[in-house]
Amino acid sequence: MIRKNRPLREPFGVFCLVIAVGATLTLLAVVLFMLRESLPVWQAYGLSAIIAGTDWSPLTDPPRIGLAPMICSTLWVALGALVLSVPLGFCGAIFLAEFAPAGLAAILRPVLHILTGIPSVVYGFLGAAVLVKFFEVTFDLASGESLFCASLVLTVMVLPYIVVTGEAALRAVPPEYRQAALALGVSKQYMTIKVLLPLAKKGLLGAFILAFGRATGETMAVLMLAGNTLILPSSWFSRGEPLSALIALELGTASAGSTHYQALFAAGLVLLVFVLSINLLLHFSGNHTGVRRREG
Amino acid sequence: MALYVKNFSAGFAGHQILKTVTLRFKKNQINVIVGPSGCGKTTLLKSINRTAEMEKGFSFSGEIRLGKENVYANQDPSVIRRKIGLVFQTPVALPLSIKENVLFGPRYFGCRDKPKLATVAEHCLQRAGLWAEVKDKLDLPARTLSGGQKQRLAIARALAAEPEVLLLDEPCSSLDPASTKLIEALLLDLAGQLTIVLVTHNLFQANRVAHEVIFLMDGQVIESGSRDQMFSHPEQAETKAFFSGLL
Amino acid sequence: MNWRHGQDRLWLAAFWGAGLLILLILGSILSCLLIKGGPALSLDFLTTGPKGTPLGISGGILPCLKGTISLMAIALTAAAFPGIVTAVYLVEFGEHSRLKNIINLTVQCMAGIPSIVTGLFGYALFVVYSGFGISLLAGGLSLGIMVFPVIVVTARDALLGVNPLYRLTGLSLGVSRRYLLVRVILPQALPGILSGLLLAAGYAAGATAPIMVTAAAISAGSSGNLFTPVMALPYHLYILFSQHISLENAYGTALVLVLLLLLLNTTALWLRRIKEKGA
Repeated sequence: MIRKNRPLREPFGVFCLVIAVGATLTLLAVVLFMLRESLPVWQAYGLSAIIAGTDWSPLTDPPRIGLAPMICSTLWVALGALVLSVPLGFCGAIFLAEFAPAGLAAILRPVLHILTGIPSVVYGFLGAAVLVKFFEVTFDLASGESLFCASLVLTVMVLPYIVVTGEAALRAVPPEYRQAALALGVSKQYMTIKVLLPLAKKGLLGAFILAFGRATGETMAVLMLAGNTLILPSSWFSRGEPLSALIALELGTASAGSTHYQALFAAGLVLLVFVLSINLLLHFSGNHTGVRRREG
Repeated sequence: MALYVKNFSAGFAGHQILKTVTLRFKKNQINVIVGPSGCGKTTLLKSINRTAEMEKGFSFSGEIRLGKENVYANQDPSVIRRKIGLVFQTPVALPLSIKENVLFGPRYFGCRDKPKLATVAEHCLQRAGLWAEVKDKLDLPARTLSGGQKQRLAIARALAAEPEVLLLDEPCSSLDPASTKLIEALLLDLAGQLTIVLVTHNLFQANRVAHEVIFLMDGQVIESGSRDQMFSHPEQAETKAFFSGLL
Repeated sequence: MNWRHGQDRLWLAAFWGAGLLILLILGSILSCLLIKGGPALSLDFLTTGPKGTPLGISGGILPCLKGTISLMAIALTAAAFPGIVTAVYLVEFGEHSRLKNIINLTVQCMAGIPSIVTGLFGYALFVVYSGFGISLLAGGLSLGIMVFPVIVVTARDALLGVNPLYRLTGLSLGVSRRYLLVRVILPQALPGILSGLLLAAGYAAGATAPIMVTAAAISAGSSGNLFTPVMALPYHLYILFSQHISLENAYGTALVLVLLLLLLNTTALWLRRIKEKGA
């Protein structure tokens, strides 16, 4: 049998193809650049010494470039944000999809949309100006900044994404399931938890991973809230400096080509690899966030 | 131009739909394909004008010829699509004015001359029996037309590409009886000028317009012949059974 | 049975509680911005430069506004064309090819790259290797890389949203895909594509991390020179707050930034509505 599913190859199509491939190669370029710029330190120090090293002083002689405190801070902040935002976000998504009166949903949805558009520097600023102040005053602290604070603000930041994606996942469940379940006389809550949640599992997992990726890569809010100390954080309530904040704070002072500069690119590479693996995980877990369905 | 289908099989992603179909569509006649739903009628039409290959995993074997020309010989399917027009089941008005819908093909094929374009539009709309209804609103968006009008517009649009064959895939299935009647009359008018292949699930319609009838089932041609022969003296048991719905 | 009832009530309370709590959080964020930022807002604030020592303790934010708009413009100029063309390839020409899937996945991954990493990349490529220095151009191009996936995804969805029958009908007439695209598909997808561009512009305007390392300065003239550093709203906000310059002006800047984004996003939403109605 002859297969005839080749796309039409008119010149304009080839033109589009070339541009698309060229633009897509930028991603590869980003990864390659991170690798190339940081290669000397990986070679000099070795993977485990950098990842597990707890001492960051790139300007001393010899320079020490352990990233463990920052990696720990990143994980504390991001996982902490997920612990807070996922239950709240999923309950919110269920509320919006199944229980909210039409009027309330009509307010909540646009507000969620507005909030996804607010830049992280504004969240960071509000968190620092309001939340940190509140902690300082309430608990009589010298300084209210902590990983916990950063997690709290990140929670608010990723909440809209979780609610919106989660609601979409719940709505994607065909209505027949609802009718079939409710026809048995069970309550709507029971139906939601026992029937809808398992069916929407993949979409909800997607929302979870999306939020995790966002929280990990977020810079401005954590920069302004986490406290920026280079010691290994001992708890959620200690201060710390996540990878992204480290890069943002120190890149300006690192001269190009120095060990300091290379070490910051190593930090960037760690962050990038981490976030890319999360994304690929999302992709290969079979969730294509609605795009596939439309194509079909 | 007569159209020949020879040992043609086709399917999508390994699922075979047409099984070694061999057929001849007679020149300047109305050739009607009937058969139960899912028998491969639409796939056959889409294979003939090479729109089937736009779908995922399409593959085929065998041959389709338009006169002497092998339909699948050219790498570029657009040449054959122009010669073999296809009207779909759902009336589709492109999001353009009524006139621009008709001129969609001619403009692409290089006609720039304004008076000539106007003549083409009028001529095609007239052939499609729509001119009287739309001549005063040629520049209105085509979506303002009714379903039956849209379907005749689709025919006018196909005619404007000056095809040698016109394929119609259940063109009346979503239309009311009055529109259906108009389109049937139109097809009978057009029959002397070009080869028409009409797919229908409506045996009454087949009886009203067909010159030739082809009965397709499970991707195979069960029987074909002139209308009188097929309706009065079908030879195969399946044909008899299927047509008994009418008797 | 009673136990079941209790549990049902508990869950209902949880769902309602979550919904109301979210609304409360969101409401308080917006009202906090309005209440605290409102007083700083005035025509002067928008039309004069920052004054005083340290700079920004009084005066307005005009150069930051100009800088942000320039950065936005460069980012869009750089990313819009390749972004839309990539989307066209994905929808109109890439059908069923493996390459399409690879590009889709790559774009999805690009969308997930943390903005600070984009900044790092822009720093190495534009500031160091290309020799642009910390400059408007380096920042704009870095933001362009950042918004590229946003443009691809929104344009792709806009194209996918066009009635597929138009494609089938048009192509069955024997016209080329380019002709079909120009005459029918693009005009139909245009509101969606524009809406995506506005969203991308908003995303670029609010991004701080990339410009912090590639373009932004605490103080710079608004000369419009591509090769000098610029002031930008989000960075100005960061500096005003973190250097303890002026909390009042920081609130004002935050409000202006949010209003600017609100304007872009609502216009984007409105454009998408038009399209839905027109279809």
